[in-house]
Amino acid sequence: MVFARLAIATALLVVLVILVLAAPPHGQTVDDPVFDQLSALITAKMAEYHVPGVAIGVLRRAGRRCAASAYATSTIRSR
Amino acid sequence: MRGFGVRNVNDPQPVTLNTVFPLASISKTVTATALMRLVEQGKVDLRAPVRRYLPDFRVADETVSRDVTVWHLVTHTGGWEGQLSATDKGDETLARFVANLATNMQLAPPGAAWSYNNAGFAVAGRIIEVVTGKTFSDAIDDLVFGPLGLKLAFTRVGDVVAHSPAVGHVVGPDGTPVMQRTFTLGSSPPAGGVAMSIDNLLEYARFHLGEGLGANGSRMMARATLDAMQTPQLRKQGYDEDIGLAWHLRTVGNVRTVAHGGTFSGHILLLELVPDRQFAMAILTNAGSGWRLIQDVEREALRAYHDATFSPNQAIGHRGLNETLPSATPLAKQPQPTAYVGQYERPMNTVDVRVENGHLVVQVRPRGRDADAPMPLTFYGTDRAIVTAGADANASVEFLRDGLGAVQWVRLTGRIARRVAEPARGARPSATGIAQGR
Repeated sequence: MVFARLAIATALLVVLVILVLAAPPHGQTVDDPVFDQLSALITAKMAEYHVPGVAIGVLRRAGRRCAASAYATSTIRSR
Repeated sequence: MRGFGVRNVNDPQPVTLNTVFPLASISKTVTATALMRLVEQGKVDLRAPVRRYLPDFRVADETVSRDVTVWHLVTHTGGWEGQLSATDKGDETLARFVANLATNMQLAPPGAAWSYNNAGFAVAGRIIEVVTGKTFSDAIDDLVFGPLGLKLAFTRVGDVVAHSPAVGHVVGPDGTPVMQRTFTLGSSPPAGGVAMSIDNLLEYARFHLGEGLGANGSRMMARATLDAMQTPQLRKQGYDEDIGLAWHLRTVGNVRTVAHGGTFSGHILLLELVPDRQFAMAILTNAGSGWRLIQDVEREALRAYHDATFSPNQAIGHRGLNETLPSATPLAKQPQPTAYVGQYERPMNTVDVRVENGHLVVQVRPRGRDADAPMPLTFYGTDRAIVTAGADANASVEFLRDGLGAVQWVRLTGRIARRVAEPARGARPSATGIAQGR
């Protein structure tokens, strides 16, 4: 009986560890192919509409963010 | 999250996740969040008259001054002219602004004709000041920014300029962006004066999607209160969407969106939640042309993430930024123009609706300067028209009727003008005919 309970507890612990590792913690960024596609679209639209700067953020399942980086664009020149 | 491009073209430092953008009208959701905290605390009643908190409150119509409620303020249904800016008078800005509304023109009875209203949110901000005994800025710090742990969120220009702000731009004569001067925040602090980084804005979005917990894990608001903010309060007459408490509610395909845009001083911005999918997206731009980018990216994001596309002839409503209709198939039989022809007015302009060469056109005549170009219209639905040519092509124009079925208002860019000439039939609406939504 004690052995069975110990086995169940161990299994639950393993499942918990897997879940924690699978889900990025609060605020962590994750890879997102759609976000990458949107980034390419933004770059094109910045040039088309003469927009000097854009910040975009996507929150998925209220805990995961998409990869972050900063870009400069050659379409904008200083005046 | 990503930052693209530069904060301003004169000093081309890159946009980063810490760049602070003026949020313009997205600020209205922050004001409503603070107000709803006070509602939870029993200090404000949404259904109470504004005069319970501001005894001297007055607009041009005395009946409206007496009866209008806090709820009207945060649903854009006060019915008075709303496109007013509050001159910066420091801590006295809102008190002075509200005191100066006494002659403000009433365009419709409260609740009768949905019309985007910055002035209403300024009044709501003044209520927050009076109830808390603090300046609006201090109250927002205490009620929203502090509990959410937002370190790059501000309401004072002096704080914003010390934290790498993005500066607005307009397209110059040679087609390249030129900085918009001078740097200011929105029309008033409660209607448009919040600034945030994209990182902090996503934290704010997470809060509105979540269980109402603050940064330290303690209860900040009840989930039920956040739900109430995202629940339809009123159908935005003439549009296929609703208004919540500050939030604009739109269904795209099978997806319910909760959003607010912003437009001010060379900045166009959007914050959009999809609560059922626990999804949020923010797009912040520093150009007056940024609405076109936002529109293209938002529609592609809704399609790519949620397989959501607009219905044919869906009448999208003003959410604080320009948008063009996703689709509009002209009616095979256009209505007789006589029901719509006439002159409509706002304090700052008149709007002529007339027939030219057999087509209905609308023309805005600002007081004190030349008239804008006439815009040809074609109806794609009942009282719903689309501009068919010119700089505003594919923008929507709606005609709204009173309870007797007479066209009383024309609405451009989400703002109504009231008909000056007597309607073809029926009586003009009475200011006492106050309509209240849910």
